[in-house]
Amino acid sequence: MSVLLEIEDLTLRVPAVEILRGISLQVATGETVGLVGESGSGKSSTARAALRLFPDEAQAGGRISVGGVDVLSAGDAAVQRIRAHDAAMIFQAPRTALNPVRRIGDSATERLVQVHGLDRKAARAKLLTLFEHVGLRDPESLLRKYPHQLSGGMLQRVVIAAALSIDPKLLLADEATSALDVTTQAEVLALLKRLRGERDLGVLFITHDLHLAAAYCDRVYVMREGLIVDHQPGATIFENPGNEYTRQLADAVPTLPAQDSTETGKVGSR
Amino acid sequence: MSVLAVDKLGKTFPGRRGQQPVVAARDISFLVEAGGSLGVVGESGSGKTTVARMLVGLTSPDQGKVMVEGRETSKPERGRAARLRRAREIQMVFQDPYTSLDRRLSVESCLRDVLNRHRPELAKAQAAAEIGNLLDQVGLASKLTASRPHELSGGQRQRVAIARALAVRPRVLVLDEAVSALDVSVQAKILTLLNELRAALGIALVFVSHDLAVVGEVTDRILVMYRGDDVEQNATAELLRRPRHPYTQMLLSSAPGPGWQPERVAELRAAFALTEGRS
Repeated sequence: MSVLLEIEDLTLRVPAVEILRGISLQVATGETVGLVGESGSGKSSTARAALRLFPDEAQAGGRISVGGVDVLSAGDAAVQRIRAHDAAMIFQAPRTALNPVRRIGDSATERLVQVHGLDRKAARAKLLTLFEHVGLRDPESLLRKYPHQLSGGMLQRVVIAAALSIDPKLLLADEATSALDVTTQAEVLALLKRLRGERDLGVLFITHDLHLAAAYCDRVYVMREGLIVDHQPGATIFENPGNEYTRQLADAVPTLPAQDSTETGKVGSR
Repeated sequence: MSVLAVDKLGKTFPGRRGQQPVVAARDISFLVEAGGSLGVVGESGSGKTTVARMLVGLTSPDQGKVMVEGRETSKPERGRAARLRRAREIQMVFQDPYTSLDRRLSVESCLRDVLNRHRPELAKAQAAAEIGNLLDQVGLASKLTASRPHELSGGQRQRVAIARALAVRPRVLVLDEAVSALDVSVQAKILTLLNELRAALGIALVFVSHDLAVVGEVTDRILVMYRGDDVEQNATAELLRRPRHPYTQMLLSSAPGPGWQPERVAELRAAFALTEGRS
């Protein structure tokens, strides 16, 4: 395992507001690291900082390294390289991530053609393979469709395929499955897990869903008001919250009762 | 007599451009007693919002009827008086408090409007006192009365939306994904509030959500919908512990929690042949 993303004592302020107040975290190859917290805690700002996507007039301090490149001090070309080759971001709303008046095949191959210099045919071929990979049926006809013709789950798969098309090492998933049905969410996450294993991806997984972070992430950072207030293995968040705030969050989350064991057994064995 | 009685409600939407018509609801029946609460769960496209909209008359059913305290509310009725009467019987709170409030109205004028229209018998001073009561009920500070929606947080706005619905003193309150967009701490407060309100005012709740854990907190009965059908209906505790229908079992196994395995969901879906027609 090598460290892909390393953030050290990151501060971020826009006039009058301190968005991040000294964040430190790491994501290594092959691991899924959760970042949880409520609205406004700074989760998205942290992920965006890895690609130097700051709000206007923002001032950043500390250190961010992606694959060894110092993001804050690097030249524009080096940051472009990270955005184009090393790290891909998946946002919450796939409908806003794709141009609504362009065919999916054009939007999703744009980066491969414009930045990676592939010809259109090669870019399409690569995307088609990835469409199959992410479980999209009839990929050929998808290329000709417009975003409004697809369901949210299918669109998010398209967005994931497009993100993977640049062969990134680091995936920044910002509430990537929050808008999906639980069933579709489970399918998309099973897929991401498989891809992570196959490609040794590092994933920074941002979610407001504590249950999801606990069940899906190797390690979880809990953020509150621009600070990381807790850091521990996902599996222990509920049983053994690292501090008072995590405990309050864990208590506030409704939890399903355990299913009757005989029935669960039946479901498991079908 | 149940406060809300829904009998064999059905709705079919015509298909687009040569496609098959979509059956959004088929033979949906349930009862909700005073102070009772029914959850309606299912995936996107299962028909749960269509059912909610039929309850309040935003969508007219093709079949079946909705009765509130013995009076059929689903018959098409013309005129202002009939509309006002139905509004007093049944109210709805939507998912997005950002779009469901008039951005030009302060909290106070928003509530006063409703009181003027639905409870004209209240004198000015009484209406002011009632606004205070409503804000108190939903746990909003009275200093916020002059605020407009953009000055409020998402949770505060949703409380205003609930206060506005309560202002007409409805017998039935329908909430469609009303807490889905909120942070868990705010969500927890609103769920507690809803439970207090139905106990205190005897309101019948219909709580539509895709989040089974949330539904588990505020309902005593759950209706599971799949492609317009009622696939299972049972007491909340029983349904969550011992789901009978394979679809309910799959929904429950999809929700992240201890021992959750996302890979299982695709298997279950395939195993129960629920994939047909979905793409």
